[in-house]
Amino acid sequence: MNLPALAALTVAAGGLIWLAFQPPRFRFVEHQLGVVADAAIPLNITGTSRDDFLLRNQNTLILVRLEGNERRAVAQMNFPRGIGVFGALDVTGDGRDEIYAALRDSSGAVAVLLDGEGDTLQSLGPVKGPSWAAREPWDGWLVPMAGFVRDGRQKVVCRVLAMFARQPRGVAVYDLQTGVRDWFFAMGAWPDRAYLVDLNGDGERDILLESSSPANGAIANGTDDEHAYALALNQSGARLWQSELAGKFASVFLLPLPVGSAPGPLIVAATHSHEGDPPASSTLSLMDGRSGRILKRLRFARSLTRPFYLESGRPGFVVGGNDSTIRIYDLNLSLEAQRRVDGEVEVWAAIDLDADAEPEIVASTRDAILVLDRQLRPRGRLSTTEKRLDPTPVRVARADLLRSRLSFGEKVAVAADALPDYPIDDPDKLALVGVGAAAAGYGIRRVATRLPRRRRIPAGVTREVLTTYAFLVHGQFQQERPFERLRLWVQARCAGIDRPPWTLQGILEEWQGSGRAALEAFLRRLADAGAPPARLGRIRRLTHAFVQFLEDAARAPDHGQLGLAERALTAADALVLECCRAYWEVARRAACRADHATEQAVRARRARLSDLNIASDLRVEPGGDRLVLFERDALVSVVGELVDNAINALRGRARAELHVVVAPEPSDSRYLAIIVQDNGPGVLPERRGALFTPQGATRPGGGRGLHLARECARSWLGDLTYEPAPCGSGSVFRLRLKVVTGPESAMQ
Amino acid sequence: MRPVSRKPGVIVLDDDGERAALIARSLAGSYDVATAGTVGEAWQLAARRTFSAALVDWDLAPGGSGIQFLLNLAERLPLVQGILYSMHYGQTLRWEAMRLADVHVVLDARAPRFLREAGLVLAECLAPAIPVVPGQLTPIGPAARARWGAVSRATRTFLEELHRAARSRSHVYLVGEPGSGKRLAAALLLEWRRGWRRGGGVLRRVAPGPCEAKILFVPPLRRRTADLPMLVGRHLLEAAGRDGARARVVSADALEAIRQRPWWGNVRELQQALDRACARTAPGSEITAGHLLGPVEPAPAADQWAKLRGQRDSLLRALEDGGSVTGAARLLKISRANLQRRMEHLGVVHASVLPGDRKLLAGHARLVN
Repeated sequence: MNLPALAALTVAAGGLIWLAFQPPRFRFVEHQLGVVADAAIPLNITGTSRDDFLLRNQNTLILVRLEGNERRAVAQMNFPRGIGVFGALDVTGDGRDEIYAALRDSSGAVAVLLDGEGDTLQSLGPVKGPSWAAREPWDGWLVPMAGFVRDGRQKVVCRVLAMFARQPRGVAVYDLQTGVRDWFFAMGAWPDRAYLVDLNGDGERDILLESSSPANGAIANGTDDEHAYALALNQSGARLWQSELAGKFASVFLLPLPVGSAPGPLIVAATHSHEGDPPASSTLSLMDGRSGRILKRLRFARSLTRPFYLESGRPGFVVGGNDSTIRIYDLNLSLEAQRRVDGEVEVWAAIDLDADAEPEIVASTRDAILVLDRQLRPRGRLSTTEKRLDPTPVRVARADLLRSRLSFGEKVAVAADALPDYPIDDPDKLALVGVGAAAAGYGIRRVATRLPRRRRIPAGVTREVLTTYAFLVHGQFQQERPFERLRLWVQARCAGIDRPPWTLQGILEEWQGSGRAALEAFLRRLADAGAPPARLGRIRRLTHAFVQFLEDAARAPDHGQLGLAERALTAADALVLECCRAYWEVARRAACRADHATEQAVRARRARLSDLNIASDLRVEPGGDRLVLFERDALVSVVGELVDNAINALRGRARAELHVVVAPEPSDSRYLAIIVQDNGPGVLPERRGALFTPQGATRPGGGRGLHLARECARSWLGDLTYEPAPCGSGSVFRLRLKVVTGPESAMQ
Repeated sequence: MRPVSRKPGVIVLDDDGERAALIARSLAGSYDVATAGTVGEAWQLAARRTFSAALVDWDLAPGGSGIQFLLNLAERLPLVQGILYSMHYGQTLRWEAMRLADVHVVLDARAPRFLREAGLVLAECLAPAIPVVPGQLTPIGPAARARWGAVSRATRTFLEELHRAARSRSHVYLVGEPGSGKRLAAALLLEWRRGWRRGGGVLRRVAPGPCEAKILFVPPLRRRTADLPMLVGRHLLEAAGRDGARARVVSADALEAIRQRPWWGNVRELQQALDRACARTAPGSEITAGHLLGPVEPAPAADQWAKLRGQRDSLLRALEDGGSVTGAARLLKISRANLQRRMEHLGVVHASVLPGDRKLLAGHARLVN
C-alpha cells in the first residue's frame, strides 16, 4: 500500500473514532397535525406514555393523539362561547391531566374542568365584578392553577384576573366536588403561577405565588400592581410572607428548589423587567422559603427568563436572558457555564431527552429552537420559518411530569406555534390570530421504543362486554324498552298528543323489571374487563339521576310531567353514551386491520393455491384498510376457513379462480366487507338454508367450520352470509365486519 | 272499496312499530298515513296507493337500510319526497343520505321535538299550490338565499354548508344534476371567500383528519319544491325586466303542474319552460298549466342511472381520500385529465378553481329590493 492511501485510511479511521465519541445530535421531525388551531399544548390524559395534544380552534378544543406518525382526534369539546384561557393540569392527583377552559359571559367568568373524554367534572364560578366602563361587562377570568387535597377533599387553586376593572383580583380556592369557593385572597398584583410547596415545614403544602405588575392602579391586601411580588399563603388562605422583587411592568419567575437539594426550602427568583419605564435592572435572587428573606442577589442589565432546575450531577439551574446568553448557576448563584446565542433566548425545559441521565436544555430564540446539553454545547437546532418579536414559544411534552413517565423514550414532543403559509402583515396580529400550530418531535437515535404493554384481556371477556352492550344500548331489555318509550312519550307530548300510549309509571316499572338487571350485568362485565372505576361510577350516578327524575315525573301533576320527563330523557341519553364509551374502551383493545389479517390468511395458503393451479388475487379497495372490531387471530382463522372452503370447491376444476376483496360496505360506512368469491360449483339451493348450521356440511366429511365462523363473526357484531355468484356458477361469502369508529359513532 | 282521500298520502317505514304508530297518529290530521314495518311491505303499499312523501327510518332490522329504500324510491318514484330520520343522526349519516339517495332532509329521531319537526317538513314539502304573483313576492333574507329561493330546508341547509365551506381552506367539490346551480354555487363560494378574506378572516382547514376535500351536494329541484314559487316569481320578474313589460302571473294549477314534474334539467329547464310560456302569453296575463310545454329533459335510463351513481360514488370517495383531483387520479390510477372529464360527465365541479362568474350573481340585489 502506498503512503497517500495509508494516510487517507488513517484520517478516515481517526474520523470514525472521533465520531463514535461524539454525543448524539438531536434530529427534529415535524408532524403536521393537519388541524388548524390557534394554540396547542401537550398533556397527559391517559396516564400512559402516549403523547396527547390539546388544540384550540375558536370555541372548540380538540384532543389529538400522536401515535408514531399517525394522528387521531380522540375528543372534541365544543363550548357555547369563546374560550379565553385553556390548559391542562392534574387537579385530582391521579396521574392524569384534567383539561380546563376559562369562559366568560354576562353572568361572569367561569372555569370548566373536564376529563379526557370531554365530560365536565365541575364548573367553578361564576365570578363577577364591577364594570370598568359604562356599558362594558366585567373583564375578568377565572383560571385554575393547581390542585391539592385537604381534609380528604379535592381543592382547586384558581387565579381571579380582573383586568382594567382591577377587582376582584387574587387567588381563590374551590372545592372540586361541590364547586363552592372556600376562600379568596385579594391582591393588587397580577397572580401568574402557583406552586404547592411545604415552606414552613408543617407537612402541609403551601401555595407559593409569582406575580407581575401591569400597573393599572389596583391595590389590595398590601400588594399593588406597581410592583411584582413573591407571595406565600397556607392552605387556609393566610399569608405566610410576601417579598417585593421588582417594580412596574415586571414579572417574577420562581423556582422552588426540590427538597434535599439544599438545606431548608430555598427559592430562586428571576425578574423580567425590560419593558419597565424607565427600564429597571433585573435580578436573580436566592430566597429563604420559610421567611421570604433574600439570601443572595445578582443584578443584570437585561431581563431574565424563567429558570429551570437541573437535577443531574451538581445541582443547579439554567436561565435565559434578553442579553442573548444562557447561563447555568449552582445553588449558591455561582456561574457554572454560559453561552451566547443569536438574539434573546428563553429556556422552556430542562429534561432528559435521550435517557442518558443528563438533562438537555430546550430553549428558543426568535428564529430557532435549540437543544443544548448540560455543558451548554449545542446538540440540535431547528430554524423556524418566521421571525418573531419574542422567542418562539415551545411546549415540551411531559416537562412538568415525573421522570418515570418519561421512560417511554423515543418521542418527546415539542409543539411550537407556527404560521406555515398564511401571510400576516402585522406581527402583533400574529399572536392574536395564531392560525397555525405544528408539533415537532425529537427522534433520538440511541433509544429504542419501549412502549408499556397494555394489560391483555381474554377475547371471551371482551366478547361478553360487546354482547351485553349490544343488548343494553339497543334498548332491548327482554321486550321492555323504558328509554325508548320515555323518548316516544316526550316526543308525543311535545307534538301535542295529550294521551300517549304509555304512562310514566308504566315506563318506570319497565325499568325496574329487566332494565336495571341488564345494566347491572353490563357493569359487572365491564369491571371484569378492567374498565376504569371512574367510568363505572359515572354510569351509576347517571342511572340514579335517571330513576330519580323519572320517579318525580311519574308523581308530578299532569302539567309538570313534561319538564321532568325531558330531564330523565337527557339523563338516559347521557347514560347510554357513557355505556357506549365504556364499551368502546374495552372493544378497541381488540381492533385489527382487516386487510392485514386477510393478507395473512391468503398468504398462508398460497402454496396450496399454486399447487392446485387456482388463480387467486387479493384486492383492497380504498377504505378497506380501516380498523375493524375483531381479534386478529380469530379473523385470520375465519378468513382462512372461507378460503379453505373455496379451495376444496375448486379442487380439480379447470380455470379455477379465487378472488378476495376487502372493501367498505357501499351502503353502510359502519361496516367493512371481506368477500371471498370462487367459480366452483356453488351451493345447491336446497342446502343453502342449512349452510351455517352445525349439520350444514356440503361435502362428505365436512365439519362445522361455517357455523363456527358465523358465530364468531356475530360475536364481534359482524355477520357472515352466502350468496350465489352473480354470473355463472360459484359462491360468494361475505364477511361483514364492524369498523372501529369513535365512541359516539360506536353507539350505532 | 277504500274511499278516495283528498289528503296527501304519506308512508311511514319503520321497524319500530310503536314509533311508526305514534308518527302516524301525529300526522293523521293532515295526511293520509300508512305504516310499513319492512321494505317489502312498503313496496306493496306503494303499489296499491299513491304517496307524496315517505318518512323512513334509517336503521331497519334485520340488516335493512332506509337509505337503500330511498335510493330505490328515487329511482322508481322520483317525485315522492323522501325524508330520512334516525336515532343515530349525525353529519356522516346526512352525508351518506345525500351521497347515496339525494335525501336532503334528515331528522334526528332522538330530539324531543322530532314529531313536530316531521310535521313541519311535510307541511313544507306538500303545501297546497297557490297562484304566484311576482309583484307580491316577499323578500326572503340575504341575497344568496333570495337567489336560490331558499324557502325549503334542503336549500337552506345547503347554503349554510356552502357558507361554512367558504371559510375553510379545503377544496370544495359541488355535486349535482345538470342545471341544478353548481356554477352559481361556485360563484357564490368564491364571492364569500373574497369577502371573508377582505374582512381579515382566516381560512381554516377542515378539522380534524387528513381529508381536505369538502364535498357538497346541490339539491335537485324536485327535492326543494317549496322553493318553486319563489324561483318562478323571480324568473318572471327578471323576464319582465328584460322585455320592459309587466310581469306575468302563474295560476295555482300551473304551479301544481310545475310541482308534479321531476325536472331532470332542474332550474335551467324550469327557466326555459317559463320563457316559452311567456312567449305564448301576453304581458301581465296569467300563465296556466296549458301554457307549459312538456318535459324537455328526459329521465335518465335506469341502468345508466345506477351505473353513473356507482361511478360518481367511487369518484367522490377517491376525491375524499385523495384530498385533491391529483390525489384522486393517483388513487384511481387514471390520468388527471381523464378524471376531470369524468367529473364533468358525472356532475362534479371543483368549485375552488372555477373562475368567478359575476354575471351569475348580478341578479341578487334586484330581487331582494
